[in-house]
Amino acid sequence: MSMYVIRRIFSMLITLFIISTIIFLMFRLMPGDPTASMVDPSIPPEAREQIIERLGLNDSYFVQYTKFMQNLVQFDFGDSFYYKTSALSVLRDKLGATVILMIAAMVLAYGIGVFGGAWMAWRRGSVGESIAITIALIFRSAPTFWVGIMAIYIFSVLLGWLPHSGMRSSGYEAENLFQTFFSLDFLKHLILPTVVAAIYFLATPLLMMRNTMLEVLGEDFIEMARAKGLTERRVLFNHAARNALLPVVTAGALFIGSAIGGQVLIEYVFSWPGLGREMVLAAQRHDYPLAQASFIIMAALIMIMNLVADLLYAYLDPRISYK
Amino acid sequence: MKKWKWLTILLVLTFVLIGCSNDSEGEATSDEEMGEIVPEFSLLTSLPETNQVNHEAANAMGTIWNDELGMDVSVEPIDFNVLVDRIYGDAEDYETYTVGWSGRVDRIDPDMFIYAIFHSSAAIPGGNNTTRFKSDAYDEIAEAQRTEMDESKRQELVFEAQEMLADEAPLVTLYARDLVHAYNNERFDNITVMAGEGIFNEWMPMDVEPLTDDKMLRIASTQDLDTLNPLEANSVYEWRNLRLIYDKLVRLSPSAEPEPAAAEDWEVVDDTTIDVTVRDGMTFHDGEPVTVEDVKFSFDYMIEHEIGYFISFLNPIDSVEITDDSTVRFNLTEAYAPFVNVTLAQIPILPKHIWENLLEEEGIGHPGEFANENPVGSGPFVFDGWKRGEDLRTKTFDDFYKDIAIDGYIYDLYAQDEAVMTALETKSADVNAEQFIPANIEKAQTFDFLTVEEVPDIGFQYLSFNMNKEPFDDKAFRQAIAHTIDYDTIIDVYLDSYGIKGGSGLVLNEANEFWYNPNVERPEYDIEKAKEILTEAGYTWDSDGKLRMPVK
Amino acid sequence: MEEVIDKKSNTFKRAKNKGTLRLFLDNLVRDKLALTGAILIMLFLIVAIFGDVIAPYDVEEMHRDSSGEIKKVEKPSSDHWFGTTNYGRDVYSQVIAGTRTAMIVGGLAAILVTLAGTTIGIVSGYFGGWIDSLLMRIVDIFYAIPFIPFVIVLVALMKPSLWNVILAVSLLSWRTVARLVRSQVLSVSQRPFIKAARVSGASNGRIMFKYILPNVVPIALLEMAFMVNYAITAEASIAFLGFGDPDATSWGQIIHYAFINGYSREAWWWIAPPGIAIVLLLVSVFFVARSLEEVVNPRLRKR
Repeated sequence: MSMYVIRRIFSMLITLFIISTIIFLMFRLMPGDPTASMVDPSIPPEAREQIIERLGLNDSYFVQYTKFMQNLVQFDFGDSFYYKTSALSVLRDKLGATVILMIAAMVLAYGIGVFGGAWMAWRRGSVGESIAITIALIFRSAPTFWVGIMAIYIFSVLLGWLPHSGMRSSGYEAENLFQTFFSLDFLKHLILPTVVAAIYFLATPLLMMRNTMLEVLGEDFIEMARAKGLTERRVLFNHAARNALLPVVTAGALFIGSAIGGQVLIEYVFSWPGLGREMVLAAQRHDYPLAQASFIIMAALIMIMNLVADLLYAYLDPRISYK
Repeated sequence: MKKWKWLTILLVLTFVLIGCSNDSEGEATSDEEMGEIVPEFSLLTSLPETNQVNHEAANAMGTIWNDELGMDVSVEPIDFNVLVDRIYGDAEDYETYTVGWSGRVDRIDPDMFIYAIFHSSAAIPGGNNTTRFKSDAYDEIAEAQRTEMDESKRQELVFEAQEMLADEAPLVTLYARDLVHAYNNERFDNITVMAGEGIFNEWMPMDVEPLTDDKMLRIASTQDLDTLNPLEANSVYEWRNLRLIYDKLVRLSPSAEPEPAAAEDWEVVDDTTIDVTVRDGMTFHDGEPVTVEDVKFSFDYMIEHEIGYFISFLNPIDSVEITDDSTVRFNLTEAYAPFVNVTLAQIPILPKHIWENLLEEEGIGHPGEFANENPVGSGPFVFDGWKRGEDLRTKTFDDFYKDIAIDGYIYDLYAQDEAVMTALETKSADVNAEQFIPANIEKAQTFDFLTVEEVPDIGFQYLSFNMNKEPFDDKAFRQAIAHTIDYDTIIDVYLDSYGIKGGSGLVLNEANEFWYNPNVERPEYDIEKAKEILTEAGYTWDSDGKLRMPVK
Repeated sequence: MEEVIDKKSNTFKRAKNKGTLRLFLDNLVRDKLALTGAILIMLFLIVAIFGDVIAPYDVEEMHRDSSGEIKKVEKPSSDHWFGTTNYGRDVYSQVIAGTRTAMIVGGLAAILVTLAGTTIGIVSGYFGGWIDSLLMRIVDIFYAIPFIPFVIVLVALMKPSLWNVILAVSLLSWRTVARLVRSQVLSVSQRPFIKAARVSGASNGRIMFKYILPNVVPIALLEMAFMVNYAITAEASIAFLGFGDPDATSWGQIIHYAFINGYSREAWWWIAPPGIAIVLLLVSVFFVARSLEEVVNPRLRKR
């Protein structure tokens, strides 16, 4: 098992290395002057040259690349051109904001999805199931940014129930980290983006739970349980659901990975100060170090989630062992 | 077999085509007598995300040039970084483009818009004369206004320069946007607004009167700050705050007249010598006194480290000397008219005791690399904390030489214009730092507790040509183009009437009261007129309706 | 959606090739939702093809009222069914023009992705060995790249145009198809008739094309349906963030303009129609795909 983990981590590092290289090249090949959004165009050409020099953009790509890789090994992503401070420190808070929103949405989507899916399998073929499937597919079809805008329109503008943007009210001072993320003010801000993200996520656990439940329900041990005279409800939740849960849960970890990039849209609509929004802004501003750092961190996050998914699978299902 | 069939068809087609052209022989000869077809070119413009008005205006112009004038134009919306790269790049790979100059306060002085962007010395790759306008007669006037220390004489020269620009049309201004802001009139009164600057000008926080017990002014902004280091700050957003933390010798009054600030007075001894008397009894926020030493140091230090944001204002300085313990003398290499209005009104006074040995203490190569996490100046407001991406807090400096009624201000960051609007609506902000987008102006007007203030901008957005290329080197062609822009639609539709109409070479407008020449005429949107001008200049349209150059 | 399919691929059973289409059509007629979906897709196709005729106005035209004033952000009326934008443009005509963009993006990207993914999947699964590990390594890399941000950078790199958006989306999406097809190929290759073909000396190309391909077509088709939705959503998202082709009217772009101009909180008629169009089209594709899925994966059939 530990050998397997080590091997996986090793191959993860190689993948990260390749991705870093691709990303490095992509940003260098991108047309446009990286200083354009940093300095006023009216400053004399010499002064602009000086800035380019100081940012190390005059070096050959090879020299820049070697420097980039050397620093990367030491977890140093360089200083953001725009913020003029270390890219990592810019991203630290943003990563927290992204992860919190993501987890909240996942918990909500999985909570509803798992029970909903089990219910759907139980009532398969009923009108209720068809309606539930239709709703799930509509949720999955609706672009998150659109649902977000509509939600803001209905709940913030028309009804005035919830705040529409940001992570906290203006002037609100958190005294400590706990307050930052667990105050009433923060939770209020969290509700709309969480629900909108969860709506998009919902179809995955819901339909998967239903499908695996249908498969499990066809298996022998369920027939045996039925034969023992247990009520359908007990068969369903005590026996079938437990077994169906496994692939659904592991898929969740995989899903977090792939969904994290899509978070950009929700962060943009709700002005949520997260990693995705920052990454898009950095790419727009040609802030190479910051954009590179956010890409690499996201890629690492996705890969870690994939590894967690696999390990979780092995842990939950004793039949599988990794050597 | 098949091959032959195709060949036959091809041959027949060729004959038919030749036959056709023979039929219209009469016209074909006349086409040949005409000049070359006007070369195809592209119009570079902003992406709608960066500047939707320019994008729309460029599309409209492109359609007219193609459909009405018979040119071959492709409108190319590109990223701002790429646009800047193209027009400042060595390849000079551009024909026409739309872009703008922002209305920084130092540009109230006409030197930037009259001299820096049109003088032939800047018509080089990387230079600010991206129009590539080169005229000896114009250079002469532009240089003269620069060295004319007498303001009314200088005004005449600037007026003359504007008339020349209107005639030459090296660029055509599309519009100048109005700056519209709002403030909460239940909480604050006596809000100063300034043309070109809007509501978050340097006077407003000093003059504003609180109406309630809460004397903290909350300014809502969408613009994050990069740095609080005055030697690194490169944007107006940073300077709007830094100029309140750091003091300056001179400040421009709301009507853009130079007013004594840290300087008690100044005297133009001769064209190249200016004596400045430094105000008595000032201190920095850390209690150290502000002396002539600090003033001299600030200028020397900025010159030594070639601070890009200020370099063009500092270039005319030859040396700075201390003549007595309250006077600093500036010796210039040549007469430089904007010295008081721009140089003295821009350069912040740095505390020598903090910056002097900074490089060695911090082990850095350039003072721009210093984080300056706790900026110490002598300005009206004391730095009280900065959370990147959230807010900047200040307290009023009690020992400042001017009485200030508020306790301080908070520069509060919001993610988008929408969020700023909501903050004003919900009374969690008192004023907005950046101008409203049109949709929010209407909204703000519906609230009784918000007063909407509207001032013109001295910056402008324009269409420009690369005059190194044909046919843009032809004045008549440029003048004709000036009649193909629908100035009214730009203002009425795109800008919801919040703006000033553009015109050929119109770099100064009504917002700049003193320097603007009201006698300069603006072209009207009139396509027929454009065609007339072209015809008069010898341009013709061939049988395909393509515009052709005059015969040489 | 990908993961759902991904996990299920373990349980794929042999789809009977003969009659797959038949089964699907039968299913379609029986399943009312799928039938509705199919009809709606046809409608969208008609609108996409004959958009120029159906749309009452040019998308760029700025409409003025009788007194010459621009019809700014006006509510729906008989002249403008979905109202107007801040520059007096007709939202209804824009939504119609957006249909074509969505169809082009969805269709082309899906075809590209399916072709590339199926080829790579078959090659990888059939040959195995180092070819397989190399290709699967590459698939892994593509799985670790955050989708939307990468597409944005790629489009910016290649200049924002519709074709580049299609290309960028395709470049990042083939991985899912490749992985699924590969696992299907792995199970198919073990079957006796493949072994028989090998023994009888059929060339690799022939085996892959003649014997393996028909067995992966159903799953590839199913995946293609999901890819249509994936690509349309991706294009809409990119256009909404303002990185799309500025010259191509698309549903995402319509919403983008309403949003950046600050009308997303008042002009519901401007925001709602393009969003509803996306939902309708995507749901239709899902309904049809579900019906196809039941054919491909018999376990899901109603018992």
